[in-house]
Amino acid sequence: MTKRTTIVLLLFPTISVLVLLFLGGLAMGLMQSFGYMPLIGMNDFNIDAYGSLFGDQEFLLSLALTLWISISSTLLTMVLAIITALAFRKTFSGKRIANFLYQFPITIPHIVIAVGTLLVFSQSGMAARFAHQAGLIADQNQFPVVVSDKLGLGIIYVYLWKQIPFVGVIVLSILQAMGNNYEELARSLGASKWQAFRHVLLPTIIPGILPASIICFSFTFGSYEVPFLLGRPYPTVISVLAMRLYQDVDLNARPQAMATAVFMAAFISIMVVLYKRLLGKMSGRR
Amino acid sequence: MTSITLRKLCKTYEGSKHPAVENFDLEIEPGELVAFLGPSGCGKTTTLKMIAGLHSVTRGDVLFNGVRVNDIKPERREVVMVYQNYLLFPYMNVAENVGFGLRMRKTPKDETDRRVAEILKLVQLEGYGHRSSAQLSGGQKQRVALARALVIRPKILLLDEPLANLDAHLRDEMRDLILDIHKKFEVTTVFVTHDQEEAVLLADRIALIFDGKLVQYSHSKDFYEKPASERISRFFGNGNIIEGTKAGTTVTTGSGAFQVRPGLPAADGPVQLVIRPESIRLSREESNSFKALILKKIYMGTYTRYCFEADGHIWDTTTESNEIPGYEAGDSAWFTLPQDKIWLIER
Ligand SMILES: Nc1ncnc2c1ncn2[C@@H]1O[C@H](COP(=O)(O)OP(=O)(O)O)[C@@H](O)[C@H]1O
Ligand SMILES: [Mg+2]
Repeated sequence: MTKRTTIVLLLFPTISVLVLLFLGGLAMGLMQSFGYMPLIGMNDFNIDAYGSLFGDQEFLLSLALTLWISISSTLLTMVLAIITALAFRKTFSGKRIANFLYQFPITIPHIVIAVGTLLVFSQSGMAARFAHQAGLIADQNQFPVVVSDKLGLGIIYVYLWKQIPFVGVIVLSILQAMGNNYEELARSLGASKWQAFRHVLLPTIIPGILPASIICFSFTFGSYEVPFLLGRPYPTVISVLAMRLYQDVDLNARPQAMATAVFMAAFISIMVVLYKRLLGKMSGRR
Repeated sequence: MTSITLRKLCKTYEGSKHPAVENFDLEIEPGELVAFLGPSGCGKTTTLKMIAGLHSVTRGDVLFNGVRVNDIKPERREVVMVYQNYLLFPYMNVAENVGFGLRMRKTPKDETDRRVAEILKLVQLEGYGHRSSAQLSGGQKQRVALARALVIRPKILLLDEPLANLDAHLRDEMRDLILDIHKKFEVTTVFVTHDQEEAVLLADRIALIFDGKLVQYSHSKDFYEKPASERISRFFGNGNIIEGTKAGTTVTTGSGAFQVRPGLPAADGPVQLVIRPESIRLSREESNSFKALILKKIYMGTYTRYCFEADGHIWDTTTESNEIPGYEAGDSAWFTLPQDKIWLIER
């Protein structure tokens, strides 16, 4: 068997599934988004669904909310991951336990964390009940709205919990690989602690965590279960909106559902391409 | 110019049982070039980092011009360290690397540019400012690292094995550059190396370190002629160490009795007689001469080395090749240990 055949055979199972399910599904979705659904007698291609999408107040609000949640949670993840990694670089007592707790969320599914958050932090949750019992608040409804809130704080919280250790571990390995010497050198050249961080550590860390931040961003942009559990019904994030339109009994809503989904896929793809360009530029400077 | 004083300086790393540096007492004169010499892991880098303020001091003091600096932050000490592996910032070009220290000091941009260009010229890298550090050879990287240190006009320059990663021919070039720079900037310089030849070629004085302890601090010549211990003598490439007994100015060994000069510090009693291979003469003289069998002759170009045996001791000697009276292995010959070249180590 030639090397080439071997490779083809090895890749075939994965690629075929990918092509059939993913690309096939994408093509179907794309067709439906353009209003082509022969099953229910819609035989013309048109862009009505896209038109109504961008004219729809709910969709625009959804887009804004989704962008807010994914951008803020990605940025916060980066900042907090760097801070925690800097802390974990030092030696301190109880480091092993702290490290275990820190990395623990990596193994837990999002949905479990979301449900846990709901049970603890909603107004009928444990924290509210405890605060009420302890006399801190007169009524459980006075507990601050951090779940199903306007700004999606509960959702962001869950993403952070899951993503900080993921990115933090990457930062830590970058820091370990670079050692202390560069930082020390900067200090002896006259940089203060802050300047050494700003001009030596950050420029090394940032390119290293950009790929992880792309993953965080695209994941949070498309994620469904967390905002479904912890978000408000209106406005909701794009993925939940798309799902709702898809499940609509009125099949005429289908093109709009598909247009929403296609928009999401296209948006994420564009973001990834832009990010990769940026990354290429940054590493080109090295 | 700045003097450096180390007073009972100690460093024990966290989680380590053995001190990396133990009770260093050392005085470096203003503008002096001193080498820290010793095998890998003996504590040279640790000592440099304590001088630079990058590692804390466990016990003892570091003083500059007699002023204790233990609590002064590294960025305020005006001590710059240059590392063996250059450590150029990969995301900066050559000029940005060199200007780093000036930018940290918020030096105006035009002054920074001017000083960077000046120093790049000095290290023979004029016009390299826009190169990325990945495009440089090892020697060029080291020169950029040196320029980056010098541009801020430090009071003290610490060089951690600056020649270790360079090819032999670049090493000579770099050594000359370091000497030039030292002369020109009159900066107090500490130079770390594990190579005794390098230390001798560069330094005014050598601090020899074994296992975290400063074992001898003196002018390089003394390490050859007056080593404080057998180990020091061997570290400087001297194999002629013979057990004997001293009584007055006579030392009796298995190869005979030898006259030594009066006033050697070793007390009467058991001693080790030390003589450098190049000090032994192939001739018969009035005293300190003996006949021995030549075991090996090794032609080394300018020098020829003879190994000879007398009463169970193997001696090592080197003579200039053009001076040899033409002995071969298997011949017997007369050897002389000149009285003024013999050194004694007390046992
Ligand atoms: N950061 C550190 N933490 C713990 N031990 C260290 C550290 N740096 C060096 N050491 C130890 O201290 C000793 C001296 O090291 P070092 O000063 O680097 O030696 P040298 O520069 O002479 O090769 C060695 O035994 C080394 O393992
Ligand atoms: Mg070292």
